[in-house]
Amino acid sequence: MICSISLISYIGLENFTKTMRLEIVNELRLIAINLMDKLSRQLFERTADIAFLSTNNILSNQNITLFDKMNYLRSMERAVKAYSYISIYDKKGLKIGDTRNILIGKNDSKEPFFQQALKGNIYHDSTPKMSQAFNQYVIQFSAPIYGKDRQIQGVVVSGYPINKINDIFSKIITPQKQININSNPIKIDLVTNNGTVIYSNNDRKSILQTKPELQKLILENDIFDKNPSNNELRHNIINNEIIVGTAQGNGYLDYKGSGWSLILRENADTIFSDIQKIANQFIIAAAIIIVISIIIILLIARNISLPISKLMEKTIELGKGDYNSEIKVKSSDEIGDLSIKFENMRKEINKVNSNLNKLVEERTIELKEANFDLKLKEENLHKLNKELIMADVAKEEFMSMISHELKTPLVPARGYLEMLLRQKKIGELNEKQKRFIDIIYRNILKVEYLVNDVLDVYKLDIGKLKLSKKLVNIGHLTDSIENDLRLLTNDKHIKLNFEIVVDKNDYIYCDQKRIEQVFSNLIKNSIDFVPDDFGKIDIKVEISSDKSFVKFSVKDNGPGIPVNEVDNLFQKFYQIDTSSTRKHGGTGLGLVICKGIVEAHGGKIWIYKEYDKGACFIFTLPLVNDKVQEM
Amino acid sequence: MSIKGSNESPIQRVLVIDDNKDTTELLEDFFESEDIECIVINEGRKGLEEIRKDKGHYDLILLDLTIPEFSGWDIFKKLKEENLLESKNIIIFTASTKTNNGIDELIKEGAKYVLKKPFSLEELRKITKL
Repeated sequence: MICSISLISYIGLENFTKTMRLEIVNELRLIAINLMDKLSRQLFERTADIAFLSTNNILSNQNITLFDKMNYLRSMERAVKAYSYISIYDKKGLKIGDTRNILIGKNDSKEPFFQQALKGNIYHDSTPKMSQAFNQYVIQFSAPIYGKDRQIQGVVVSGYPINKINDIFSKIITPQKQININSNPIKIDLVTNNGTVIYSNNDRKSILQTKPELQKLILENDIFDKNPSNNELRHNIINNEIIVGTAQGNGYLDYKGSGWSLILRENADTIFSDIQKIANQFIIAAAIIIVISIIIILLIARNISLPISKLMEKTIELGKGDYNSEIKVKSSDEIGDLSIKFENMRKEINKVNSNLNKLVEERTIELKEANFDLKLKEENLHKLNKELIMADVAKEEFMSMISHELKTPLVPARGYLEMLLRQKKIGELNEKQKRFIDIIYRNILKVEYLVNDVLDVYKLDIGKLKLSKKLVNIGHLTDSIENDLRLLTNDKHIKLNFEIVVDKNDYIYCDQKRIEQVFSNLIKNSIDFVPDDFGKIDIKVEISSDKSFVKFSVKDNGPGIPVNEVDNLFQKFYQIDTSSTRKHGGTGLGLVICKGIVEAHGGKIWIYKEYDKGACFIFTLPLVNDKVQEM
Repeated sequence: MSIKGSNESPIQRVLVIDDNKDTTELLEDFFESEDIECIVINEGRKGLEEIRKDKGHYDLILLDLTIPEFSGWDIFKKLKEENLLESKNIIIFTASTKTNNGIDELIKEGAKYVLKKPFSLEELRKITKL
């Protein structure tokens, strides 16, 4: 801010001094113009006088003698106090009269003043001429003399010595004339353009002398205003002098000619030192204003910005979470109000914050406890999981061991019985012995079935029943099943009916051995219940209408299953209490295994309840679609 | 199934490796009744040595998988490593609950047949075409 004030002041000052200088130069120029104007009027009046003389009756009156005319002119000269002469020429250029009575009869017909006058012009020299009679430079004025018939009768000439111009000039220039700010007189020179000094107030000796340096000054420094209508101020500063010039030239002493130059010179130091003085005063004033402004600004800033910055500091502290430090800003204005409201807000926040902190602490403790519990539970779960895995391994080992231990003893038992029954080398057994051994053999087979079933159920239970699934053509599967089932029922009086409605291209993805196991279990089940003499088992295989699954049903003509027993049938070791009709001696695990195998294949097994003539077991297996087949 | 002897010449010598004495005795009796020489070894390592020594004497080798210390599995693996399986007619019997996959693998590896315990003599007779 201070900088900008200084800058503005400086610029202002610069402009001020510049303007002041221009003002001074302008004033100098005005003086010059004014002087030139006055001079011009003085000289022009002289020309007017001549013109008046030429048209006056006196000069053209033939009745008045030349002598009288000359006397008249002399008296008139005295009257106007013009220290000059008047001559009269006839039409041929001969001087016929002269107020000084000299050079009468001289022929000046070739002179410009005569030539111009003959043309009817009023004329004056723009450049002074050396007059031998006056022994000094003279400006000549001429005009025609008209007769009564308005014909030119002759020429009247008046001469104006330059030293007389000097007199006029001295009168024009008031010696006391001063420029407002300057105590010294201005140096003034009136110079013809060929360098003849006509007037000088500073170098009197140079008057009427030709000074080439002045001519050079006029020409080289462009103070000679060729086109004053531009209204430009022409000035130059040479050798610490301000030079202002104005010129008059051809024809009359107006501003259009090229004959005269008025040079005004002023000491630049003096004039500008005055300006500088004023400028300095201005600077001091500006500086004082700036200092006062700064002091005022600082005072205001103290009152406004101090509370604001304090408030801001507090706001930052608050932002960082320090809700405890009190906000006190002494200020009677809006900032004071603001800080009071801010303080109220801080108190509110502090209250809420402390409540929140308490709450967070409580929750943190709860969370920690919960976390601890969770960790404990996780550890327990981990332990449990480990134990479960170990239990799984143990189960599998157990299963493997049981399998081995139960099956191995059956090998020699069964083998030796076979040998007893078949090996003739050992010797023929009697019928009784044969019957006993047969019973032992049958029971060993039962144990064998039981062992296998138990192991299957166990595998199902622990999820270790592994299936060796392959794409199986349903036609092949049913053929194989048909063969197996016929073998099973061959020696019994049971009628097996097969109704197989499948496409040659229908496939299921299954473990064939296991599916065969399902069938044999179901058939064994039926065999147990159908009547001995006219047992009948219908087996139906069909594809669902949308070709998504294949449906197998095994239907017998046994006593059927009581409705209340249906749901229990697929439970382990559950058998319908018809012990009297038990022939095959099932393990009570067959249906459980069937269910496990079917479900492991993504199928379903159920008992058809509505069938009241016997038992009807149905199970489905998903059909493989063509695309999967191709894969 | 092509078991040596079944097609070309009758089986004359059989090696049985099993720790269960009742089973080995049954097999001895069975083969004896068929007039076939049956050599029984009850330990795994000895069994392996016997197979290694064998120079085509045994027409059949019956190998039980579950033998303590050095099992039939170990023997089978060693034979596989030593490329001895190709020339041998090995029939494996097992009570293992391993799935069909396991049996398939054994066949693929070079066993001629896998008998699941409890097998019947009828089954054994069938596969050896006695």
